[in-house]
Amino acid sequence: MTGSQMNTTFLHARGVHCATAAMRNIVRHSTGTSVSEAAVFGISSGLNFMYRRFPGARLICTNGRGTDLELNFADALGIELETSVSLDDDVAWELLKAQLLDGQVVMLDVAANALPYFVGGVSVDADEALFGGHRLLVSTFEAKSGTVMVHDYAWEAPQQLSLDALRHARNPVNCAMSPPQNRSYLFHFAGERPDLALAMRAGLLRAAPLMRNSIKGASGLPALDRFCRQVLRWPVVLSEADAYLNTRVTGYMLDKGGTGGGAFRNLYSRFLRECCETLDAPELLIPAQVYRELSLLWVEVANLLLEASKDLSAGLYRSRRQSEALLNEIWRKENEGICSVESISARIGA
Amino acid sequence: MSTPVITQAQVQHGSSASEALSAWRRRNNENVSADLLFGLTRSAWYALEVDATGARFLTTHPAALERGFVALNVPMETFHWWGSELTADTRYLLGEGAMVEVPKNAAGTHGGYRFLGAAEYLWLEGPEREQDPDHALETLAGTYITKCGRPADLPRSEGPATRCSFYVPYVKSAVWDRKGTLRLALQQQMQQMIQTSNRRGAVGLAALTKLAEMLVSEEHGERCRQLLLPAGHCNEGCGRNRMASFLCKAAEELGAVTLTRAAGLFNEVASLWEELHALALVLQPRDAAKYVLTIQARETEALKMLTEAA
Repeated sequence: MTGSQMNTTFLHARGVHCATAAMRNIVRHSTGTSVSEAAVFGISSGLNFMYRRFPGARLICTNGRGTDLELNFADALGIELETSVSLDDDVAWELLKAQLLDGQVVMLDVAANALPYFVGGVSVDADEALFGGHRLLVSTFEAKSGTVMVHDYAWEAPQQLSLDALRHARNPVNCAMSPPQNRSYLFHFAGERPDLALAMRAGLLRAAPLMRNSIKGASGLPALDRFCRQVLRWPVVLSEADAYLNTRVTGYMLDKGGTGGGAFRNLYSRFLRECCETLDAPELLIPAQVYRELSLLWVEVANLLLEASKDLSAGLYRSRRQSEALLNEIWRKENEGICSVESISARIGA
Repeated sequence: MSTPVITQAQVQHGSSASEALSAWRRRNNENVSADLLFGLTRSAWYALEVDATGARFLTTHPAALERGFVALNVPMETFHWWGSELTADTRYLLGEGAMVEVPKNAAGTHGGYRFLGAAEYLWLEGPEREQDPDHALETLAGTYITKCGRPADLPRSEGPATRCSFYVPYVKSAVWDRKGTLRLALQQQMQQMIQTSNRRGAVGLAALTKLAEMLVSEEHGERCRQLLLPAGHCNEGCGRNRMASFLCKAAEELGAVTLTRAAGLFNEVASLWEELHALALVLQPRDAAKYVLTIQARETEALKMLTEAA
């Protein structure tokens, strides 16, 4: 039997963010349970803020989510997550091939802008900077053609990739930001339907501490604080070319770049609304509204950055006073939102 | 170059992950007992894997260490290095410190029927950040290996390819909601004991049913009896003593008297495992099966109390 015959049952559905869409599709495939992408994001404690410059990278990695979504998701649902990393491409491929031939659907970490079908879809070219951290699912190995079928969040149809293209995306040379290093994730679901209410409680409980447990100032509230203070100085402290590059990419990553709109705050707001019903906790409507408002503010920042990416005296840099007011409002509301989630999750308990 | 510091966590048999986590928190000036971490990581578990090569019986959860970082809300990266060569981009390890997993899979082999002891963990710290990353790992490996032999002997897990696992926690000062995390762990403990697994054979309470069935079978009975020999010894009553201590602490912190009664039942379960271990040499497999089913009944009763209290 070939790999393609084994995985014809896998149904892909589009989503707004790579990892959460992939995990939602895996849950449905493995357990028959329909769960929203917003719920997956919240259960994974995805709400966060990253602001980090990797050594040797031109780009400052800025986005509105955290790390370890897969680990948090598996833990909250009480399922096993098998992860693998290898710098040896052959070892990594043999492991993946065995999993595919066993009928598994595997999540991979790849460099998005190294994928051939991504060309034009992402705001940074491969010759500007390669960055990992993108997730997709691979379901099938076609031995005859030497290709795999991958499922990516923004594409309706599966994409056929040659093994060379897959190898390049999984472990590209000169990838300074979040190098994928052939990382793969295999979720082992049990036969039962997952207890989503318990998982939602776990996700809620972790949201605030993860915003406070900052990775050396590169994540959480300290990272947000730094971003709000530093972004207005980018044209001064960065080279002109890097300032143009970073305003363009950050403008993209804060809204259109697979965030569900407004730096993931829209997605998180919808998660909180779902929790209201599932956990019978109507008070969560209050932070849900705060995050809805935050998503609109982040869209505004993203648009201003994109405007500035064409002219560094325009957009976010046209009026320092107005931009400072906007960023201060974001800082205030982010604190309000996380404090509200923290106090409610402590009250309703795990 | 400064010498890397390697500290071996105080390992007590099957609960080494919680010991290692507790030691790591102490390094960062937080006192979280290993007993508490044993419960927060839902370490008390059963799995019985049976295949053509034999059977393997686990009494603690293999992902306890990762679960501990999640429970404490500590962002962490796991590096499972596959392959024959230990080549790694160690930028992430330098200055951060990492736990390296030292497998003890070879423990208690009885003709293909294995009792799997949990892994041990070593805490590694690299030299200064400025050092060449690859050289630093060589130094790490080399320093450890001075006790063991050659660099290639850095302990790896068994499997289709050799594996060496590093766990790198990025946060030193952890914020976590103590009561909420305790309640969550209690609920998840019950959940994990009643759910199935698609790759580990029988897990949770079902593993005990399967074990009892195998003990009374012609085909497996005698070798399964051998499987029980190391269980009590290696795990302090298969970790259930430690579970009882966790529940006493949880009862105190949550003001839930029910948990004290559940702790009593887990103590009883631990004592039954220890008895079974002591008697396994002389018991008939059929009688050992009765012990296993009694253990299952007591643990089921205790788990129901956990759910009520949470």
